[in-house]
Amino acid sequence: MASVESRVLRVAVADDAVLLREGVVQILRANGHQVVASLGSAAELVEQIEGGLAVDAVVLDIRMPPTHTDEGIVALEQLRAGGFTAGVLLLSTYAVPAYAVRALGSGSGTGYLLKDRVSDSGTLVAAVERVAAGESVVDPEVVSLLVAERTRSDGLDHLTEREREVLTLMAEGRSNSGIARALVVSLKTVEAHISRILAKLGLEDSPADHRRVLAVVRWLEHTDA
Amino acid sequence: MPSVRSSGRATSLPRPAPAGAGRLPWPLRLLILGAAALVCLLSAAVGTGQPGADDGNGLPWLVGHLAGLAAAGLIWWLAPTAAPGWVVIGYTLAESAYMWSFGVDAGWAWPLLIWISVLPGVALVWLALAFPAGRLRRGFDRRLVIMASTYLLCYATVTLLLNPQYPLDAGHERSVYAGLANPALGSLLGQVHAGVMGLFAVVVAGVVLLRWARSSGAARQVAFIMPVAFVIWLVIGVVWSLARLSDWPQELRLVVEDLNVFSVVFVPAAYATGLIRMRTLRARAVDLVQTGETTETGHDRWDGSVKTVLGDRTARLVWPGSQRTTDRDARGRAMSTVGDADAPLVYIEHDAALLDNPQLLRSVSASLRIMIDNERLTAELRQTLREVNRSRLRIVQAADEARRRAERDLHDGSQQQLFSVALRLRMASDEARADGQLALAEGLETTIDQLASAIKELRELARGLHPALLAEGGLGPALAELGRRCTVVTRVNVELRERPKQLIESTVYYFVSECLANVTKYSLATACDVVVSADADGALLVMVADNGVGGADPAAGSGLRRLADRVDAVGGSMRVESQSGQGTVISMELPA
Repeated sequence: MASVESRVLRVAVADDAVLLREGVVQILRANGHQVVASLGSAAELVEQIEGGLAVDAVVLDIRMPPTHTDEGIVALEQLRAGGFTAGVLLLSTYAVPAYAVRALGSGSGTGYLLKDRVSDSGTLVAAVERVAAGESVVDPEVVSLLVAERTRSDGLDHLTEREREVLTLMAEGRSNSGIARALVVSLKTVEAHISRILAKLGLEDSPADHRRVLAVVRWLEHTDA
Repeated sequence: MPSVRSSGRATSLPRPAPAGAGRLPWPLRLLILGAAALVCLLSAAVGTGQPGADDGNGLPWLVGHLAGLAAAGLIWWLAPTAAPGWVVIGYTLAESAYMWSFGVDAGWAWPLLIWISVLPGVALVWLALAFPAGRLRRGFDRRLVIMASTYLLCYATVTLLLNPQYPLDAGHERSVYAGLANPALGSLLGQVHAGVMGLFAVVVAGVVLLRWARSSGAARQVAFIMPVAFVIWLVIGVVWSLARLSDWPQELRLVVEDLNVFSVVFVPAAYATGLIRMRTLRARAVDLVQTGETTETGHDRWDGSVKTVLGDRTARLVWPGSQRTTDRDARGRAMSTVGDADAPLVYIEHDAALLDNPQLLRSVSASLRIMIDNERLTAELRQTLREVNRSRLRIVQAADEARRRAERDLHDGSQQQLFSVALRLRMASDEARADGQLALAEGLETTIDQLASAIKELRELARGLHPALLAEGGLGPALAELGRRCTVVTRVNVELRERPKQLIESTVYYFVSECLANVTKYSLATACDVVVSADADGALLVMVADNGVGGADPAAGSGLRRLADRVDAVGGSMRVESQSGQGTVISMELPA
């Protein structure tokens, strides 16, 4: 997978699972990025960043002490509220669409990825690079879960097979060019598909990629109403 | 058998005589009564048509005597002791013996019948005074009976010696015992005797009436029969005597004669009737238990019931350790203990007259004992049930907690380790590939794939143990997630203003989870609705409805059974409506 940016990123990693955190740090470093902080809790991360730590991206576990529920998302919302605009990639053990919607809702440059992906070659690093560039990332498993459910309930019969593929990639946060590359079609074709899909779903097209992803994911998750 | 013991002035209640000792076996009783009836029949046959016997007709006498024997049979059946039965039989036989004196001219033997003929008087006095206890409890009564017996025997002996003919009007030959024959003196003696007997009768009637008047309602209920019968008998006797002694018209004399014949049976019949009345009172003791069943701890109502059943408005229950003063030493009061003397359950303070009806007291005591035991057992049962419910709740809570902990351990431990192992394997395989060791890289990648599916399985296992989303987001997101994963299209509608307690949340979650699993497996449904709402009191209503084939049987599967147990444990209730072909609605209500 081609990296969106080739510049060296300053990355902070926060996860209470030490082994995994060290693995993530290693893989980021192996891919040429700089890990500026490796922390065991979301609170420490917020403290460091609010203390002036400059980062391009953050890799943040969702479930951490003290409550072991949604500390990562809470920290994300807290940082965004404080004007933090760098990329944030949330890592989750479980595929929870509601978390994805919540994460994306906090602003652009946000991603939601299953921890399974850390062992996929390049996926984690690519996701970090994409959020650092302001793109959105939604784990394919979450998207397929949503699409499958939406297909069961609404049928999605009004979408063609190809349109459904495009919808899935949109929901995963791919840019138009990314979709074009993935489907091996021209950018123009992708743009035509996208405008037809959005019209069919009753969603407004948005110049900002991030808003479009959020709208699509929300629609899939039934929280659009 | 609950015991009734009396304390204070009252003596202890007599125990019912054990069968075989004081009581005769019923075949023997029948035999004795049959033999007595035969004697009466013979005496009537012998006496009938003889001069002196009223109009020569013994039939009215026979009817009276047989009625007396029937009363004796009843008394034997009902009375706690055999004595009154024997007395009534003796009375009847002695009465019938009088008939013999008309029919049998046995020379030297018949005058001796005079001794027998005075016995009914003694028997009547005894019956009137011994009712209903069947024995003479007072020294005065005993003295009265002894006096009457002594007087009557003396009178009979003197009459035998003075009167050349006895009975005067029977027309027999001269008595061989009339050594001091003096008809004039004999006649005078006869008149004095009538007066003395009248006096005796009036004294006994007076005593019985006085006691009845002074007794409480309890005694009156039973004892009124005897004074009434005795007074009627007395009046008839007096009228009869007057009729014999004076020149009454023949018709009137005949009426009085007939009345006199039947008055023979009055007192025994009254005795039997009184016993029947006491028996019906005992039967009312069952009312006590019924009252006990309708109240929880309404001891005051028990008090009222005891008053009613005993027929004693002054009766009351005195609870051990209560501060209520008792009148146990007051005249005419008695205390009966319910339960063992060393561990009394309750005391009944009542009219001493009720001691005459020990079976009633025993019945009431037995009923009270049952009620008190019942109350105690009910309380114990409730307490046990509360404890069982609490412990069941604790078990469910502990199981919930264990699942939560297991999921946490899996999440923080194994799952994270496996992620990091997978990551390291990936790094190793990347290195191997970079080094050109393609075989090694491929081998590692296969391992990574296997590890990835293991991680997936472990994740599903952990999710089943306890959904992370439930703890964080509550029922709304957690149930939406369940609905999303269900293969049947499921609409989830959670209308809750605030989050319920953790235990209730997890119960609702497992309820919906189990129901949706059943919908997926068995229903063949195309749509399913999950609704969670709360009523004004905060009670939760949960409903899972599908449009499938129905026919779900809570008794058949262990899943629904387990679910019902769990719902039950947190104090909720569950309902399954699943008509074949009409879908399935499983609903649950959980208390606030």
